[in-house]
Amino acid sequence: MTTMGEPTAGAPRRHPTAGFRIFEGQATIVMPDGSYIHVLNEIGSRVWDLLDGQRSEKEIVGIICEEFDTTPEIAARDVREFLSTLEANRMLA
Amino acid sequence: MGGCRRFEPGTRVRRGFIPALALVGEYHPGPEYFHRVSTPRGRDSLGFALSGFHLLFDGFSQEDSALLKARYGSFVSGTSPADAGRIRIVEAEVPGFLKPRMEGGVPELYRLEQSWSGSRLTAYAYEFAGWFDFEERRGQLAIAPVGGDPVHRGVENFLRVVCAHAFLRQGGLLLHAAGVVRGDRAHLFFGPSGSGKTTVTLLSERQTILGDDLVLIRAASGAFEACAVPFRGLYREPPETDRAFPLAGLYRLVKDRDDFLAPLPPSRGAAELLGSLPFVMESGEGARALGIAGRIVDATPVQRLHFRKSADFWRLIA
Repeated sequence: MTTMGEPTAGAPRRHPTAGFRIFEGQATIVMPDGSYIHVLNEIGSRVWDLLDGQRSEKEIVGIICEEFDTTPEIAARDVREFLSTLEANRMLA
Repeated sequence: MGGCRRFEPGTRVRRGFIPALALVGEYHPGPEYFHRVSTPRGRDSLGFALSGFHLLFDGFSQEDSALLKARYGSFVSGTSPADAGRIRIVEAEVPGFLKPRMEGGVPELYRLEQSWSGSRLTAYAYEFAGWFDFEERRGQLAIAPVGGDPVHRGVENFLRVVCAHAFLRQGGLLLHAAGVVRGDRAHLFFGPSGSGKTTVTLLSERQTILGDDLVLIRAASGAFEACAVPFRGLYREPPETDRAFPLAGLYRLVKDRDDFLAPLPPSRGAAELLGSLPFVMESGEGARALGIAGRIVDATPVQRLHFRKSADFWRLIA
């Protein structure tokens, strides 16, 4: 059992130094070095919002399937690809 | 082949000081540097009042004072409030700090290094190195004899950096923008160099110009207002007023063949604002800036203004 707020092992989590705000479903993100400002689309923003370290990647895929018109296979592939991009940009903890 | 260079008959040799630290490379000042330099340029003091942020500089020469008073007009005075930040002006005692680099065969436009240690900001460029402690409200500025008019350039460039951070701490943004007052309300036009900020001011005859390079947005009574700062780009006239005006519009400039406005979603509008903030984004203040930019776009959405080189764009702006 995990206390609320503590990260779950293996659960992807936003980088704690990332600043972000979600405007009408779209996230604007700044990293501490300020060199890039990222604006995500609606699905990317929802995934970003779910990256609180509490949910596994599989759980996030499930939520995306519930909320958006997509299949589990496509959602799993897109979420994995998105997380890889975030990781490459050092945006995950 | 080595050897000494000979002076030809008739060569004029200028006598003078040969600095121990020749400018063979860049000089990156650390804390020990600022302890070492202490010679003021003179005995004059000048107070700067910048949209409620007060700084008192000590150590200008009389010549420096005259030049800066002429440049900054109503933004400077001989006195400051008791709680003004104090900055000591000193001789750099080195020939310069950064050296201009080439980028793709052309000299870089400008370069600045800045770092934080607690509440102390250190910044330096070609002709100046300085620090300011926002908690202790004191600092130091060393001016090096680089190029023409290094005092004016050094003071202005240091002030730009310190003000950008000071305004951010007060909940405002120093935006790389042109500001024009129409109907007693401020319209801000922003974008990178070359996007048309100075052009907009030149196309706005009979309007009050807040500036063509940097304009402050600050919170006031639950809304936002814009006011001038004494930093300008190519527009030669000093700011016409130090009053603040309610913020009426934010326009990201795009040069085009037609005049039209295109709304931006708030996520993109906030990102565009952040992309036009000098100094603060690259020094770890992005999250704070995003918080402020978010509140600004909540109150005043950003639009993309496509415009020709004509005053017709004003027809689009109510």
